[in-house]
Amino acid sequence: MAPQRGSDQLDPGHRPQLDTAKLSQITDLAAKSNFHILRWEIYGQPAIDWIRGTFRVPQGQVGEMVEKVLNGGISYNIEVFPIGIPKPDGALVNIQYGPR
Amino acid sequence: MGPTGRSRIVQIHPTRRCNLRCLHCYSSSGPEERGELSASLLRDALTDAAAAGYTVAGFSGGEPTLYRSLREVLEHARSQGLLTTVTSNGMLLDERRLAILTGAVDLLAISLDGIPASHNRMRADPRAFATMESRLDGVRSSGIPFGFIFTLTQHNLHELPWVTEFALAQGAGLLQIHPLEEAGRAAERLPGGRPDGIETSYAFLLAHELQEQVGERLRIQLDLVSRQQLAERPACVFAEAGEADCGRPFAELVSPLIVEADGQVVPLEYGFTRELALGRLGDARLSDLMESWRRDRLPEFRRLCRHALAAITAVTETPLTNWYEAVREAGLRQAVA
Repeated sequence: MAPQRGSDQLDPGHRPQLDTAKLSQITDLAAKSNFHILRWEIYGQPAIDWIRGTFRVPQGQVGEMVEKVLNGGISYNIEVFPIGIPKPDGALVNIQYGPR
Repeated sequence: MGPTGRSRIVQIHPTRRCNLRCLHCYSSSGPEERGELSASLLRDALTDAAAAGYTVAGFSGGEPTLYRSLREVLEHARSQGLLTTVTSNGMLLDERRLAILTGAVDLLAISLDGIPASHNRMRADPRAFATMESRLDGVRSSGIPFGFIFTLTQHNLHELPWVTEFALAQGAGLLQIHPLEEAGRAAERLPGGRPDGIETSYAFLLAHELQEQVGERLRIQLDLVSRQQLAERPACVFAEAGEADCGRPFAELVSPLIVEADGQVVPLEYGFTRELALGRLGDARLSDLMESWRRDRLPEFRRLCRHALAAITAVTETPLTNWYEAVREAGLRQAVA
């Protein structure tokens, strides 16, 4: 059997489920936090196949973001783009929820 | 500027002799290796490196504590104003070897590749973790500042929180996370083990999270950079446009500078393409090798760095990259061409 990727083993009890409750969880995450949603796309109608979102996260809160995402079992894939010259003052965080 | 920031690093591999034969060893070191560089050769090289502007001398291997003249060259490095670091698997750090290091080393970096079972598997020795752990009381008592180095693979990110807790509990000051590079023995024994974009992205996030949790008790360093940041600051990787200022100190043109166990001197990384090697210690002094390389090879080196940067920034799927691996692969492509 091929070994699992490490990130898949980070939280094995919380594999994402494709349902609208998860969608609400993501939007609540942004609403209750200091994360600004820049882009938001939902693919698949009427059933949701996957979701892609981009958040603007202030410097120092990336850890909080990932904790909520990972502990919430929301994401299959996260990407981070530090922004700010010369010193990063924040990050763009892309979240894709759904099959890779 | 360069990838090592304000530190200008000369990394020395005095021997490939090692008590272990680790799966991920980029220098393919092992117990059967016997060769080593002479102390006089290394003393001269350290003198020249300091004069060229280098500020840190890092000793790796093989297992550097098996190098018989380690104390002598460490003291010489210190006498030249260089900070010193030693990277060790930790298993041999008994009282005698710690005495050799004490007062001559500014940072001792000990390899730690995950939970005990994973560490032992990577080290190809069932006693590797327990023996290393048994040495840590002595390390702490020695007063030598120390940290751990964790090699990130495609399969072990979930062990990073445990590694962080272990490092904290042991009183380490640094946890360095370095992505596996498929070079040396790793290319044969760990194919597919290099972390991909998803794993490196998660690693970035986890490292942030863990750093925020531990605060100043432990510095967590992840050896990855953002492609976007590299594109905006090409001087960080020697890839700025235009010709290099040949009058600058050599350490501003190449850092890290690597002295391999056979005396070969190469830019940036162990095993770097021989097309851009400076030459071999013993054939000439390091200062002479630097001057001829500056004259003959520097423009080609700069072109290679620009090619590597172009390759890195052409990728848009993943935000983070291991620049050292990119430039090494660019060098290999160039050598093949």
